[in-house]
Amino acid sequence: MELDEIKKIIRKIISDIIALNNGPDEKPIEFGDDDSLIDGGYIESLGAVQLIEECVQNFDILIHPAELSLENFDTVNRICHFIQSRLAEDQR
Amino acid sequence: MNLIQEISQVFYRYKAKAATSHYVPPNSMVTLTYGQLEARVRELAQYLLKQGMQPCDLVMCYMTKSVDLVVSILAIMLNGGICCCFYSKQNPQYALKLFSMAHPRFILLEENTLRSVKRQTEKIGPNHPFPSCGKYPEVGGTGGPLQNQHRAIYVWKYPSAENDSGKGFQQGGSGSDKASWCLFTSGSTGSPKGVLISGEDLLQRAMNEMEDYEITDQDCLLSLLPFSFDVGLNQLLSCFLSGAHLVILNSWFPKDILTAVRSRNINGISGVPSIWAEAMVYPQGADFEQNTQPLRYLTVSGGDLSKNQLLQLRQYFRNVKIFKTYGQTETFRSSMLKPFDFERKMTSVGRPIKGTEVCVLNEKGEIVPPNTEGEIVHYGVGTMLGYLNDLEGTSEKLRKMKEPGSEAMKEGKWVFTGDRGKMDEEGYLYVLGREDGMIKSLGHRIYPKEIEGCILEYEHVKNAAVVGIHDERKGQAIIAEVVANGVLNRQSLIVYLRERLPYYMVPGEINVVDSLPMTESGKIKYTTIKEKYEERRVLQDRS
Repeated sequence: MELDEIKKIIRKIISDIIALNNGPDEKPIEFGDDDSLIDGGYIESLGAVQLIEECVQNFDILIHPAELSLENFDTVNRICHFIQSRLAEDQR
Repeated sequence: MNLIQEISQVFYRYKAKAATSHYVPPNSMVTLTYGQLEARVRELAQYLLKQGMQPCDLVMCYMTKSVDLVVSILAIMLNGGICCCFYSKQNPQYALKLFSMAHPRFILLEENTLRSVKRQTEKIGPNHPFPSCGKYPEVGGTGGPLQNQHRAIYVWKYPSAENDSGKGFQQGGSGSDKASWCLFTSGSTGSPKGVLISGEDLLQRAMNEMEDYEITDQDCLLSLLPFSFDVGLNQLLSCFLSGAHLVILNSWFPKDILTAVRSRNINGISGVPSIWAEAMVYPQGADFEQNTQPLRYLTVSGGDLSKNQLLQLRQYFRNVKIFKTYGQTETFRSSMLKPFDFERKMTSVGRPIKGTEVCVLNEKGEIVPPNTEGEIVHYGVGTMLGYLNDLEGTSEKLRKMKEPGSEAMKEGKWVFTGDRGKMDEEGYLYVLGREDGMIKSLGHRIYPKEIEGCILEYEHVKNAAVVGIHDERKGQAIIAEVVANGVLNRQSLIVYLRERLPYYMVPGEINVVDSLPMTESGKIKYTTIKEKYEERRVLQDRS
């Protein structure tokens, strides 16, 4: 899968989680690809759990507890790179 | 000496030593030394004075846990204000509700929270114009926490009510001018309550913690809990009073916690049960013990783990001292189970801590014999001054004891905790549950009434009952039973609740039922509902 395609899906998942917490709105909350999502307070711990579950389902990958960290999940770009490398590994 | 004088001395003594850091795994970290921290605190304090801040003003912080939040807290305290942090991830609608309840003089925000509060006020309409905000530092100061140490702090002068200069709130009880902190806690009557604490008591709490956990200026402590939670706040204060180093981590992922311990040489962690329940799922590698070697102690606070989990925790962190603490926001800490008692008394919450007396009373208000169940009452260090703007609630919670244990306590204020418990012959306390169905989930204390009140506001709901049932990972999981009024869409109800409640209060399971079990006098039989789900859980565990 191309990085852009992954990014599109990830951004959609995150917007949905944020909207769920802040209430539906015409003007969705904006976040950059390098904005700190968990550390920066965009999504809370329950949202983080949801984010991970959605990633597992959408990309059909397994995530090991040792891979759950801010290093892999704190920004859109980090999530995308993590997912991409996982997908590449699975193909091999 | 008072708290802020004590802290000032530490600042002076440890100028060049690391005071606080914001750590983002695996290897970004911003650190302020005590000297740098003091400089920033004094600057912000000056700025607030310039904006008109006065002693005893209530100032709220709606910010993510960061070095900037630490600076804000200390600046408010330095100016003699009453500081009130609340959970940064609380949704903006809930935040506005707290503002209108507390009527603070100022609210300190960061870019994120400023934006979400602004949007929320715009939604409410033109009658709630968002006032202009001051910004500190006045020039520059943008960028993320790690790109720039001087992130902007926005200072919002909260519109004051008529004849309210920010000090117009009643503080419940005498000596309320001594308040220096306000913690919001879920209220039994359905709306949140502000618990006021004196600076004197904060100092005493912190001194106790330094002694019990043996914190020294060589220590490095990991801050996982919010400062809006008494345990997280006390860790911050005891850390700074000792000249130790506080490392802030905004992640409960076990890997991040373990990486922090190893790479930042963490000696102590204050945690809630769900953090440890999660951590133990993480596989122990061959180098685990070596990696956790710097860790000297950890705490299980704000709830308890099952006996099995405690045994597992003992095995998992083999060379780490485990402290269990028990208390509520109104008492802070009533008892503590110390490491040397852990094996023998692990299901208890230990013995009353220094400066407190704890008793168990029967319905007549008499002290019960050992091993007899009753209500736990608390006296001494940790006792709140009273509830913000709620004299009635204060006098209900803080009372004289009918039969004081000693002469000195005759006049004293006892906190009637509403917790059921018993004490054994050796004075170890066992907590058996709540008189009012309070739920503890993910370290938060939650009253069903607050959630039910919100569910009942939804137009398609006739009646609702909320219970907490045992959950290995969260402590308790929240379940709601709802009687529909017409056609009820469960998903829309969940969305509705998520808009109005902080995430940890939104029930994980909502079931639509025909009717709720009632007593003859028309009260909901919570025990019946609870038993049903507890039974189901036991069955599920077996299969």
